[in-house]
Amino acid sequence: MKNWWFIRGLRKGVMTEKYPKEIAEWSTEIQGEGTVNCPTNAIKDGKWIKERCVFCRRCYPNYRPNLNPRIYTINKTQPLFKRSFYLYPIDSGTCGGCNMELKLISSPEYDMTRFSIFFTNTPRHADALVVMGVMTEKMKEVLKKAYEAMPEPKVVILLGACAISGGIIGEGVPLEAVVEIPGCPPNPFTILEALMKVKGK
Amino acid sequence: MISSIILLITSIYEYNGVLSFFSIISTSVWILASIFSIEYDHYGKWLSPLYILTILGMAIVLNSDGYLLFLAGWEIMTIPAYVAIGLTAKNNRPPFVFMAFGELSTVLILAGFIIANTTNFNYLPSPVPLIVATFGFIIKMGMMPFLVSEWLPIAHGTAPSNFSAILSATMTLMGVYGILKITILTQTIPIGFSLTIMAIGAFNIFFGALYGYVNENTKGILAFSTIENNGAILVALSLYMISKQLNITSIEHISLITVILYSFAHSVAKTGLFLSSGLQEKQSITYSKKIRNIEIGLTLLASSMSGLLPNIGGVASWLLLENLFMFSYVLHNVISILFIMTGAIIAMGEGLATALLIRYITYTSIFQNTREQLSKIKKYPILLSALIVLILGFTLPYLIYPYKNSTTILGMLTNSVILTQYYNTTFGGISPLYIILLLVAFSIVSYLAFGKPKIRKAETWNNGVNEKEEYTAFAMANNIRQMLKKILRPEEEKFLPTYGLDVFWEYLYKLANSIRRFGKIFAKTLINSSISWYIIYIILTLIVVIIVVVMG
Amino acid sequence: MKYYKWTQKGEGRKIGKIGDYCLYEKTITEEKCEENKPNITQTYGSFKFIYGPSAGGLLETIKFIITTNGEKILGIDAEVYKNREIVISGLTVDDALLRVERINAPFSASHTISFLLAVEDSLELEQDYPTQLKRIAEIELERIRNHLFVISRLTETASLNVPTYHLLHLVEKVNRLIGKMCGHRYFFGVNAINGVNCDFGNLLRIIDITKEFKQIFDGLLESRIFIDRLQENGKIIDENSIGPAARAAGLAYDARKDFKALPYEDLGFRTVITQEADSFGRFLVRGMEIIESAKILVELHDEIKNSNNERGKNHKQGGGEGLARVESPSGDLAYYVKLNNGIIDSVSLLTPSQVNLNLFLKSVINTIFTDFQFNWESFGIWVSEIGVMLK
Repeated sequence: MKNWWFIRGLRKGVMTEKYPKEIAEWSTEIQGEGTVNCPTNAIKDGKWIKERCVFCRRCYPNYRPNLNPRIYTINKTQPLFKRSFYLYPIDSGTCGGCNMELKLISSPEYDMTRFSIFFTNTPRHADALVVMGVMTEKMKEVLKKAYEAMPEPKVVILLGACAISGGIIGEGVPLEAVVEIPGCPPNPFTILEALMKVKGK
Repeated sequence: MISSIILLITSIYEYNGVLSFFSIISTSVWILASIFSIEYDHYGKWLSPLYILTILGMAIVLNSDGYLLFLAGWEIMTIPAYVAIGLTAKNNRPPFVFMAFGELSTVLILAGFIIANTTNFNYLPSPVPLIVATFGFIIKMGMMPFLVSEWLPIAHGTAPSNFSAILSATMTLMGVYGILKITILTQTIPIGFSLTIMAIGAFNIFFGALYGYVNENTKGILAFSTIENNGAILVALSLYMISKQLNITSIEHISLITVILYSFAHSVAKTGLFLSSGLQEKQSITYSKKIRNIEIGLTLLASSMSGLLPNIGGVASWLLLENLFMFSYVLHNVISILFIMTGAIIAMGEGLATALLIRYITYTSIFQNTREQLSKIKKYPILLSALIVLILGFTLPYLIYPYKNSTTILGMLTNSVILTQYYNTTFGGISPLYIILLLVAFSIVSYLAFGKPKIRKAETWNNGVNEKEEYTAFAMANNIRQMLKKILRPEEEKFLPTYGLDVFWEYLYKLANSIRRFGKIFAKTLINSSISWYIIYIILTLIVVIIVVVMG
Repeated sequence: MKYYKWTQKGEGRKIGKIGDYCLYEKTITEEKCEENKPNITQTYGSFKFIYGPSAGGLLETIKFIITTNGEKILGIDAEVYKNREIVISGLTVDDALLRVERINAPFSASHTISFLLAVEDSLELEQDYPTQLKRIAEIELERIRNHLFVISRLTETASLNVPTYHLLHLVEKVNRLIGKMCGHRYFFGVNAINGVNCDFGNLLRIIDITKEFKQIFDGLLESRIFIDRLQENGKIIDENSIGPAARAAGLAYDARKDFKALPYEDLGFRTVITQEADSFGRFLVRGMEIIESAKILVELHDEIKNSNNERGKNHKQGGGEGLARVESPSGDLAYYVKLNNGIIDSVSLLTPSQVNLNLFLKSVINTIFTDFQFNWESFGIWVSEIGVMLK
């Protein structure tokens, strides 16, 4: 029968990957040399400042991506969440890309639930507040309330260049985060590994 | 009020059988309502005399020892109530409906008494007076086989609150008293009739609770709850009749006690609830004001009427369902299915009754109520009724119940377990005293272990914005209204959808209309003012008379 | 402006509000294009119920103020909470392109191609045919990815987990395909005036993806519990609707057919129409369009797999006004651009989400709470497009 979903799922098999077979190159680390005119000033003295990069490719061919997706910055880890980590995403001004990439970490290739990472529908049950997008006026109050509604212990995660530094659109979100995941939008593998590192492998 | 106190004391002294319980119940209700009425006088000078007259009528009914006096009391009880409703109601329908059904019940009772052919209360050999009179009495209790939403909520919903209290609590009690009195006197009762009464009772439990849940009038909600409880009492009465006919003495006693306990529970609790509805200025529950100081009282009353132990309502509900299960077990034949089905319908109805009461007490007093203080006279009767309901739960059964035992294993000592049994075999048991002792003991233990409970206030999370909305009472019941559209038939074009019309009434109305039309046509064809047909009628009558005379 | 002209009254179907003007199928007018909101009557026992801005069921931030009297939705109003102001006048075309890409990432190809067509229109440049074909390939790939995502959101709301995850897997596969061919999963940095920087050698991988999707689609059509939630839910037939919502109602509105800038007519494809105007119809239209788009891509593959993939030459001189419209996955998307000596003077934008949001608010009246999520997801509205103000 065409809608015996359980049999279908079994027949499809396991699709989870330890490391992605293909990674889109313009979401990985950039290196090179020379002076270029970067629209967000993400290249200074030959070094690439990942928090500001929006991957516009204007620095090509002096600077190229080297397919290393581990471009996150971990400031602190919280090993309490090792067995169970609930995320509450809040969008304060995205273009929709970060929302979609965050949703894709639950797809079978990445499968976030095998690392006990889950999404929740209310900040009262959340361990981490995942903030995406530039800071907009009306969302300041909402962000504050969401943060206050979360119980201790809680962490804040900044996702995407817009949240960390404002990217090319506006201003970043002025919150202190345990991990910053740059990218425009970040690769799901980058996001997943960053979350794994935060909660302790 | 003083006369009520005197009556109460005398009825306790002159305890002569089961029927004097009704006096005890009625007089306690009258005392509570009278205390409340002292400050409840924004209706006019006519309220108190009419109030006293109704109570007088009921007292006469209770103390009568002949049919004539009974009927006199019955009428005296009904007419002042009709006047009170007529003076309060804004249109003519409620008092006329009340009077119409009141007179219908009187006619049926009168017919029953005439068939009985005596003037004093003697033993009756045939069940016919019982059958006819019972139908009269159950009309007074608010039920008729299918007309659920017609007369009682309309009438009781438009009377002043202390009047509604005594109407609901005690006037319907008179119906129960009447049925019980004549049942005790009747020797044989056909099983078919008792089963019919049981079916009527079960039907009314379910539909009374359902219609009450979706109603918007504070007094209407409580009136439907009265119908529901009277249905339960009727089921208990029918079980009494069946067990009397089949001679199962243990169930006979138990069902009689059930009737008494349920009447106690219903009357006292209903008084308290109606008095609380008198504190509201508006009759619509969505626009009601939440009043403080009566939360505990209302919660206890609601828990009693929902069937929670150790209140007396809980004991009564448990007894009712146990009786039904015992019957189905003892009889062991096809009729047992009827008992089980009745039990299922009663359980559904009780569930809806719980929902009904929770909706009522939530929107009139609990959660976020106003800061005004109530005067003591208005506050105490409600609290008192709640306490009576609680205390009676674990004292009264022990005084009047015949089958008790102890289970030392669980720590229930000295005859504190109430048992249900048939033919000397135990079926089930509960112990309300044990429950309340455990409740108190555990509360004290946890208080000593953990200290006073620490309360922390946090801001509610409402999607990140500041608005704090509240579900209205109408919206709370709206999912049932949408799901059961076919039965409830809301008229959604109006501003306030009313549910005065139920499916059965529509069909009966259509049937009555078609009968009337048929009658008109029949009359026109029969008496058609043509001489030839009249001559034929004369000849036919002559032939029939000749045949009858020749045969006889 | 070679595709459009200014008139007093509009000709053809009405599309929507662009900047201060009103856009129709064939012309643009200066009239006010306002939608009038329906009055919400207060009934007995009704109250206002807030959903959003930050709630678990919504993917993005939007606030709904629902007037209800219990289970039924009697009236609704929407307020966008993430309003971004993007400064775009005074920038060069390349700099403005960076910002246009990031207005809405899932529709990024449609935004950039519409913008570039408008710029080329205003500079009166000659179009390069292979580039146009490549642009069609980008838009169709984006259409497949978005439709897959919308259907996965619908099955997620119905709690059918196996199809949800299978569809998310297909979305990831399409994203990886786009990433491999064009370097970035959302076409950032790929488009330029008369140039597309993609290598379409691997385009035939889309055939396997579509075959897998067809199996899931057939299974979903047999799933009574899923279809019951969608039928009679949010039925609306409005002649001012666009995109899959219009095509579900039987109205054959498609910018691929009536705007001739991109050479769709050289490729055979048919507009998918159904006659049920509810969420089920929108689901059907999206499913069948995936298969149609895959057919277009297979036809295109031979022509574009070997063309060179350099950035085109930039013509920065010239000025004028240009207007271009493309069919994004959720409906018509149009840009009206005024250039002055190679520098942008003003840009106005018509997004499909703003038209679809008004349609959604009309279609949700008299449904009940449990229908809301299905109806919302079936329109495929991205809130980031609505809140953007281009200055």
